[in-house]
Amino acid sequence: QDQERMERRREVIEQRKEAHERAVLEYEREERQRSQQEAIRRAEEEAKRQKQEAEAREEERVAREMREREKEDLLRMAAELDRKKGGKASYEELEAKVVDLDKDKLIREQKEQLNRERAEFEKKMAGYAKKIDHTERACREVERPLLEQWYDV
Amino acid sequence: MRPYLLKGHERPLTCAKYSREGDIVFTTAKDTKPTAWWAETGERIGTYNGHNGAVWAVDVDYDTKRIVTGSADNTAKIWVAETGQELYTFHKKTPVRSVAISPGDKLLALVTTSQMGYESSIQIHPFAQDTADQTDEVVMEMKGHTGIITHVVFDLCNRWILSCGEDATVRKWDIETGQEIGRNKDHQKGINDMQLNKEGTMFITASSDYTSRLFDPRTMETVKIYRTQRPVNAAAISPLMDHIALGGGQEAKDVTTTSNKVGQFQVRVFHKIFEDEIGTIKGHFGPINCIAFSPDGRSFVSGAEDGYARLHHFDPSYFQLE
Amino acid sequence: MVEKDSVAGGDDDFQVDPSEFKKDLWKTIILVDNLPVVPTEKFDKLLSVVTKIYSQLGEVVELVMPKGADGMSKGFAFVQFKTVEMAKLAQARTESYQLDKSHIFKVNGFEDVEKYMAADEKAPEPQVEPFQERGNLRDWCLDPRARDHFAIRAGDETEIFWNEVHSTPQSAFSRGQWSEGYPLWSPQGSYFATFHRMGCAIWGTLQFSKFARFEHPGVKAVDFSPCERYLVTWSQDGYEGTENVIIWDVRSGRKLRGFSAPDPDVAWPFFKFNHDGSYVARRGKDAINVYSLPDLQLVDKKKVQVENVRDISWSPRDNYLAYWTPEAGNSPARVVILDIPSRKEVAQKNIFSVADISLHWQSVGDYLAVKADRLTKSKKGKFTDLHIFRMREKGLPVEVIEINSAIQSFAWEPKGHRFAVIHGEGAKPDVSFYTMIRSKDNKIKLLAKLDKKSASNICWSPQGENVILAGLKAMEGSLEFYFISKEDEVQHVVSTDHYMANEVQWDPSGRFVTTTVPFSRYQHECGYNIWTMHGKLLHKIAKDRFVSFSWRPRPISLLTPEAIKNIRKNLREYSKKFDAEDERLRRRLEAGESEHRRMILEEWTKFILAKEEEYIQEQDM
Repeated sequence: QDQERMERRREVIEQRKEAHERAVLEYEREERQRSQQEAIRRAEEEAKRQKQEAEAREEERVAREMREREKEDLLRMAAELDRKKGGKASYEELEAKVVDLDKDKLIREQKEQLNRERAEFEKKMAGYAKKIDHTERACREVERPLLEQWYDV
Repeated sequence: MRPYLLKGHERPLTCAKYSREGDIVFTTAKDTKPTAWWAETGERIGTYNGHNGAVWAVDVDYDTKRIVTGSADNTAKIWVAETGQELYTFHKKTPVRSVAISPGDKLLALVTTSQMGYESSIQIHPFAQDTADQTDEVVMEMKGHTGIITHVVFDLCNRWILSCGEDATVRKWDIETGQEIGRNKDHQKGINDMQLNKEGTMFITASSDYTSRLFDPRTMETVKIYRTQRPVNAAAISPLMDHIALGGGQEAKDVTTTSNKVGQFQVRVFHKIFEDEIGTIKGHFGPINCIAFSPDGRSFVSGAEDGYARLHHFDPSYFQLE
Repeated sequence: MVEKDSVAGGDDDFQVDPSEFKKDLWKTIILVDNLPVVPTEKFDKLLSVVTKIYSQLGEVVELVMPKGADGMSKGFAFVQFKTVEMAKLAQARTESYQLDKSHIFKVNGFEDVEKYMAADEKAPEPQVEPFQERGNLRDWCLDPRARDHFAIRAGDETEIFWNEVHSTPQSAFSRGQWSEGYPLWSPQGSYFATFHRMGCAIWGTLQFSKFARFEHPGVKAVDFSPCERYLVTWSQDGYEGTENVIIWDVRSGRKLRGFSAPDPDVAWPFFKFNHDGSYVARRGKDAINVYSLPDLQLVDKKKVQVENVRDISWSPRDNYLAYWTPEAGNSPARVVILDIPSRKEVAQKNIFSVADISLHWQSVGDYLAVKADRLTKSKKGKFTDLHIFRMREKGLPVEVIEINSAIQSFAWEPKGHRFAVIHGEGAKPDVSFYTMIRSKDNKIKLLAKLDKKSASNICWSPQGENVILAGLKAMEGSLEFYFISKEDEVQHVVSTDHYMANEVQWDPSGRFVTTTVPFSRYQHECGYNIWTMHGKLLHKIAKDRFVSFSWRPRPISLLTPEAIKNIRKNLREYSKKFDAEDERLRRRLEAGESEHRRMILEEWTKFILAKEEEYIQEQDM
């Protein structure tokens, strides 16, 4: 009977051992899986972060370029205006001016300058046309007595 | 100038009339539904449903109780102006091209088209005060035009009636006898419109010969000529200023390019006495078919081939013009 | 001013309506002059000879050979034919007919014959050109307000106008049924040539009186020499017995010589006159015929042999004749400038791979531009080279500009050193301006390149400096005005358009420019616009059935350069005067206008009052 009991007990122990081993295995498997998933997640997160950082850098670059271009444009406009007004401002002076000026004001100034130029050009053309007209009329007036005496020879 | 675009018609406009009080504008179009609009705001009041073809013309009685329309469905109809109720239908053999209610609302002139062997004619009906008494009876018929008669108007004293048409003539008929008592052949091409001035002492025509003429109805002689560079389809005399308004433009089939500029679809305002152009009012996208001044001369309505009517109220500066 | 069927009938002179035969009996008669003067014994013999000659050419109704009191023949004869056509044929065929060594027929016009018939038959005077008071052919240049003439053709009617600045053009002259074909001005504006069935007529002075007529049945085209002394008429069909091409002396109305039509590949004008009217050249087959004027004999009695010559062109100022020959075998295309009459080659240039060449003289002969359209190696693409000769420099050096695309249009600035080209493909070609003034690198300098322009034509003002880039015909009339300053700055003046315009014409003074839309192009808005030199619209004239517009050219100024210099120096004084004149005129016109309106208004008021009166009376009845 003892033997029998012993036998059962061993069996039980055996079973328990097996159960324990299975449990340990199961735990280890789960543990592995968990760590794998964790790794993937971390990798993904890292990639995302990097991408966002790259995008932000790119945006920053574009914005910077735009700012630069705008500044260049403004500088050019300012230089042009300055030149037309007969000024001889240096690059640094203009740059300082551009920083101070707002863009709308500069554009307005440029438009005004263009209108002024146009008006000036039109005035010049009108004067030119009058000169041509008066020269022609004067020539004809002086030629008239010569033509009166002219006959087909 | 604040124009209102009157949206509602689906086909080219054919005729526009103001009520005597000037508060309502009636328009007809090649769709089947004559429409009434508030003249101040351009808001649509309603439509008159019952015709089965293009509607060519409309006229309004003295107190804006009834309107009469003429249609390509070979009928003319009398309606209750306010409700759109159909009161009476005249049946003709051919399309009714023009309608006119005599001053005093005693007579109706209906113009039938020459078609399928029928000669175009002006038929005078008594206009019954009570529509229950209305009949199809014709008391007088005037014939003589070759081709379509485009417009007919009554003399303010009901002595004679004027008609114009595709045969480039304007004719004057005695209402009593039906005899032709005057004729003018100054236009070179078909006449598309004819309107009397407020006093009934002058009338104006619009012709495909690119001109509009002002006539003295007594002598039937041309008094003034207004020259444009396009066919004129509509002409109206301002009741307020010494101005006239002309509308027209190149017919779609003659326009080789789609450019609006080429068609010249502007309303042209001329000085009635000096015959020179004062200005143009643009907006339409097709030839203008009809123009009417409001009775006070402070606004006008134009209707065009583009399916729109446009209502214009003149700016105060306009009345400063000489 | 309208003159209708007055003294000098234009068309009636050439009527050949059969019903008119009796009235125009004289038209069937010709006068044969330069016959031998023979005694009575030989009279009948001569009569039969003359009769025989003429009866071969038509049905002779009557042949009269007058005799003098001494019994000797008078040396001329009248021949009457049955029809006008026969008479014309006989006249044409026997003009300069050589009867014998010393007798060359001179067959004369009809008007004189009529005069002789009416005059005493026994004492006909030797034929003398009747003296005619022709007036000053330049009287139209005397206009106190320095206006210019232009001619309008609308329908079949021709009318001359004065151009006005302050008002619409004023009619200067018109005449019913003036010309059957489209009339034209002579190069210096002295004459206006009209076309009729039986020939052409020329008119002059402010009265447009008839100056001469040139009988050439079926005449299709006429061309004046630049000096206006000679006229070439061309009758395409060539009536039987008449030559296709006739060269006339304008002042005497005399025919100098007739020619048969050239090869069909020779374009009108067939004869090219040099600047002063001393030579005229014609391209023949493998030769250039250079004739001296007015005798029209070949210079040195021989042609200039040039194998396969394609086009010839005189310098507008010197006796240089340029021509070109195409590539043949291994030898390249050649452009040659000949000195006339020495025939010496003063310059020449070889060009390879040439599809076509055109020659462009600058208006005063300072430069000759040779536009050579060339093919790419694959023969598929086209590009253009310009080879430009400097005619005023020693050795006539030539420079090349390579334009890497096809040139559609080339134009010299008149009397200037600059030129413009339209180049590139498609509806929006590029326009480039160049100057011939040498830059530091000694090359022709590009002044400006304007990209993608709606331009088909370059229209320089005759004064230079102003130029219009016009998109005509397919481009529907866009107009861009440019100003190119003396300092070579290319400036845009204004952009505008004249819808459907197909021509731009500057007036001879360069103060105005016209754009035209003929009826055939766009019937709804045909007519012409007159603009200022800087694109401000002065007049928009609608004209029914409008056909053409042409400014009257002006003669070369009689002023010396010193006189012009003097004017420029004192321009301020002149300006004061002209400004005042303009102001006076403007005021007068304004006053006239308001007066005009006042009158219209007055009439209208009267009219309305009369109507009201009538109306009241009617009411009373």
